Amino acid sequence: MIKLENVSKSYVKGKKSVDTLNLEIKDGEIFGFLGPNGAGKTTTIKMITGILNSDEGKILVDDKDIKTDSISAKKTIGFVPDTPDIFLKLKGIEYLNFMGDIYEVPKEIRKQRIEELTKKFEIYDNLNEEMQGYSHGMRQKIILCGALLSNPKNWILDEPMTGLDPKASYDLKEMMRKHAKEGNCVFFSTHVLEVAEKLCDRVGIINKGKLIFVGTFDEMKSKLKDNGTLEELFLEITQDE
Amino acid sequence: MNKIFSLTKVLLKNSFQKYDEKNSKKSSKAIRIISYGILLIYFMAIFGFMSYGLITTLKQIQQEAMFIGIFLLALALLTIIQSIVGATNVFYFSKDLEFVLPLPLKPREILIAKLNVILVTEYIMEILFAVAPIITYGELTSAGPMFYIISLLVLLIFPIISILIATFIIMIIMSFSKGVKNKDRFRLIAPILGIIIALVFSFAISGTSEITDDELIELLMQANSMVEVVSDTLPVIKPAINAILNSSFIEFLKLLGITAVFYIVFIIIGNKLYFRGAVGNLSSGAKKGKNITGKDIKINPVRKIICKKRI
Ligand SMILES: Nc1ncnc2c1ncn2[C@@H]1O[C@H](COP(=O)(O)OP(=O)(O)OP(=O)(O)O)[C@@H](O)[C@H]1O
Ligand SMILES: [Mg+2]
Repeated sequence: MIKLENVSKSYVKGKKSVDTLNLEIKDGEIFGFLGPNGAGKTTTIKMITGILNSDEGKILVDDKDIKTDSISAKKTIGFVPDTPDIFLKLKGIEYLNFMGDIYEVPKEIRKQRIEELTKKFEIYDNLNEEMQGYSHGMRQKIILCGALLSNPKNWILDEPMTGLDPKASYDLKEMMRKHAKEGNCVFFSTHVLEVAEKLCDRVGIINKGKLIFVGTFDEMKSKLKDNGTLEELFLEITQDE
Repeated sequence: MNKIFSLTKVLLKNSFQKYDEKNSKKSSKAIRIISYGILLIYFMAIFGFMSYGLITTLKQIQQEAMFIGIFLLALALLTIIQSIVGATNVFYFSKDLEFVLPLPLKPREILIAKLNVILVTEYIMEILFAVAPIITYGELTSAGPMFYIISLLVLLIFPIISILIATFIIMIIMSFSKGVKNKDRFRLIAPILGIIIALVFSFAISGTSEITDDELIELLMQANSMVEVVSDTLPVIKPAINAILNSSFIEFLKLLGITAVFYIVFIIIGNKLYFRGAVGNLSSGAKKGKNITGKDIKINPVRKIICKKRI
């Protein structure tokens, strides 16, 4: 469960990049976070994962406050950032073992889990290579494997589909579905409306830091017909593709 | 403890990334090891030779013990200067914090792992600059095994306090220059500082070659009085000197104790200073901002069209 109460953040004084955001993502739910470039999606995600401090408001992950109880909150999160260019000097396997150490995944389970995940994403054979030599999509995949290694309850993914080939993208979507079905929580940002439509139980649209819509995709569609601003926004989003 | 070790390992591996990229693309490992080996022997020879000169000169006036004080002072200064550069890189210019912060790590664990990275680079520096002088001194004074053991322990602990001081200075500077827009210009300071220091050193060394023994002794006396002055402000110098000179384990424990106190105080203060300053500062946002304003302008015509249609 992820809960945001009146969360605000400004990088520059007087310009709120995220403006009094209220949002609750329940267990068992896939939530899609939509919005044009610069809307505040990444900023919101960075606050949920504890990379940035919010200026105002409260963020709870599984009822644990990310500011005051950050370690236990972070333990429940599997996070995939928007740039996968992390620790490139490490070999794939070294990176995964590092994540295993940090999230305290027992050695016996770890080995099996690594094999399972990397085989699924077809990077098992590249585990002994430095990540410097990985393609964008391969880096994306190894980060994904690292994030899912400890089997965290709450998945938070910032544009996870970019760079993945259709098969990996399909696999990831299936995994997201399965994870949510098992009573966990999936929160991801995307520009692709089609993905949101097919995958999400609910979507949220953010523009210029303000959340302007939350609901199911169908609700959004019907609302689009009589709401001008949403239509404009829809245009902006679809134009990105 | 385990997590700190893991994080240190990863940060270390990653910090060598830069050097490797610059190196010729795929020079074989053997060539690299050999060239590092030659470099190592070269430096050790130079500093061994220099120490030999200084110690024999001091021996003429039965003051060879002064060498250790001067040596440790020089080592402390060198470590501080190096750590200032190291701390800026490790704590502020490396972009790893953004990837480390979402991990379930205590701020203190991140801080310690980053200090460890600097410490390891200082150890490498010590292998180059400190091992040869100690061995030379040991041989010339026909010291026993205890001397070498204590010296090794001192060399392991001694740099820590210099690192803490340097890091503290950098953290203070950085938390005041929070809004530094010109990070790139700031980044230039480190290499320039390095070049200046290298120049000063080489002048100093070339200067000493034409000096007579008496002048050298005069100089060393001055250096020694500087040791006295500095050891008042840098409380680890005295116990370090005594530990090595007397092969005294008790004095080493004193050094260890003082360092531990400094370390704990640093962790408490550093926690506040670093994470308050750094976390707000994570940015590569300047470029992004421009792009977005550009996009806003592009979107406007679309809006106008929609508005017109409605009318
Ligand atoms: N480090 C930063 N410094 C200053 N402003 C920033 C920084 N990062 C983001 N911003 C501003 O915050 C706003 C939101 O940015 P954010 O990265 O959250 O957008 P986004 O929705 O993730 O966009 P995208 O779809 O391009 O990923 C933007 O207006 C941007 O200019
Ligand atoms: Mg983004």
